[in-house]
Amino acid sequence: MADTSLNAAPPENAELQISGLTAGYTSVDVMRDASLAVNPGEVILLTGHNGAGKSCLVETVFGLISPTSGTVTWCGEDVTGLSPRALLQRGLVLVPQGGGVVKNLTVWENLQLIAPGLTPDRSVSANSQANQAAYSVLDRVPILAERRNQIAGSLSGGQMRLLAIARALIAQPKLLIIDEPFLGLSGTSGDLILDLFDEMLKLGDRFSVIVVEQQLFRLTGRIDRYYVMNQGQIVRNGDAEELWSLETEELWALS
Amino acid sequence: MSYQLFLQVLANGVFTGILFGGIAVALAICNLADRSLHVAIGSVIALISFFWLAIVRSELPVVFGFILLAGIALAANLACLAVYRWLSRRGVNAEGIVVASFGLLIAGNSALELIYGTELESMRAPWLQGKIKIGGIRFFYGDLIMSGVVLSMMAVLWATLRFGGFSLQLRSVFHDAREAAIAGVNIPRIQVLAYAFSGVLVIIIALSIGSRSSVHPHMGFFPLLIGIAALVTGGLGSVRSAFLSGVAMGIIWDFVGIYFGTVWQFASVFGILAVVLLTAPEGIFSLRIRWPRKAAKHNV
Repeated sequence: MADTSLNAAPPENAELQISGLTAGYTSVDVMRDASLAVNPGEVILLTGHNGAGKSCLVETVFGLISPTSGTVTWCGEDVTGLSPRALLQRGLVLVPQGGGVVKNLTVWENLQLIAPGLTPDRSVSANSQANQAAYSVLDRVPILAERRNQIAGSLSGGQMRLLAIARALIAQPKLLIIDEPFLGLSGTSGDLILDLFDEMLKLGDRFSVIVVEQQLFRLTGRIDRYYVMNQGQIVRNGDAEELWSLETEELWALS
Repeated sequence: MSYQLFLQVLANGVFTGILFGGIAVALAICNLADRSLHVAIGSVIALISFFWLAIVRSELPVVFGFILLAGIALAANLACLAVYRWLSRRGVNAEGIVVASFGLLIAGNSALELIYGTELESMRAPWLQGKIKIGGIRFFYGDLIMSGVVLSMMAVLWATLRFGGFSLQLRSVFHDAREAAIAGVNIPRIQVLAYAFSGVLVIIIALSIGSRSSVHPHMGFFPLLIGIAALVTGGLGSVRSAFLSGVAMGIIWDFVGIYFGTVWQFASVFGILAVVLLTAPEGIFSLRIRWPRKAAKHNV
């Protein structure tokens, strides 16, 4: 049964716990009193209409926006307002909406930015651990290896998104936050992302995922729980089964 | 013009160019780190020169004096960075920060004017003003020392950018600070390092300018203008381009001064800038925004 209360009590063993978070851009609060919890290994969907405050929520969690009130707790530690770098060191990784790459750098440089130990030669033993982790991801996305010397900004939208997700995976996340991975992508490009997403979910017991998405049909069978935002607040949450049992019209109305 | 005079002007031009190149690099490295145009460096130049005079008057040992100057230069530059960061956090964009930097320049120069007056003072560094003649060409100690220090610092910078991860981080911050932050780049650290390097470079620039002309509150302003022209002419986002462009401008500056008269020097520099902006607005050296590097050998 869906829990439609605004601030449902988070599970006790939650890895990430967001409580009463309020934040916004400049002086306007875009998101108010948002509470959300992620258990270890869970895939959480965060959805809602345009302007509902989804991106504001994940950017606040990731330290890109300073909250005016509320707390973010990660593995029992209060990480509210920490810098992205500090959060990255704790295993939180963000793939922002429409970004996640530095467009003027090459594909390879983008990967090196998040994994400084990465070397162009996979057999180099000095950085074998970093290399192994990186190459295990790159083997799943051969297009990036082929285009490693290409400026990231000259990739197609889908390839750029692949690079962003691959880069995030190379960082060996404990919690991966992906904001609108399918935004603006055609069917084929979207399918490429979906394939990588599925590959990623096979590793799902190793890390948790928050995926912000409006194209709910893309995520059928891929999430554990969901949250819906509207006008800056979380207005609904529940289990995946409950979400997929809704009528198509109701699903459309949510996102 | 005799061959000897030509060589003398060329030598002088190269030294002037290294000076201009040093200013352009001091601006470029800060620009790479935070996209600002740290024009307040003009005031830092004057501040350091006046502190040098105070150190000389107080008869402090030279080594101690340099340590003190380094501290002052770092403090002044990092104070400017703190102001820019504070403004940035309050939502002021890069253009607004440039205006603020001009404000700091004017405020700094005015404060120095209030404290020291407008009289021109000599640098009082005889070891900078002595000269030697080699093959009939005159070299000032000040020029040789300044060039040696600037070129050494350029070598250090090149090695840092070439062999460390600093170059990649610096370029990522320059191109997209938000994405760089998301990728875990420590932006405050990058900015502090860049402004610190710039501050140290400014010490030798200030002493060199002071020994070439005189010390007064606005002494940093005109060299700053040339530095900005060199930075933009070379192409924003590249330390190498800024330096090469500065050297070229110094050579042109001295030749124009001899051939056409000093009144044409600024006109020539800014004329070149105008032509570059019209024909290659990205800058004449900005084909690749990076240091020269060997192509990475990949085995994926």
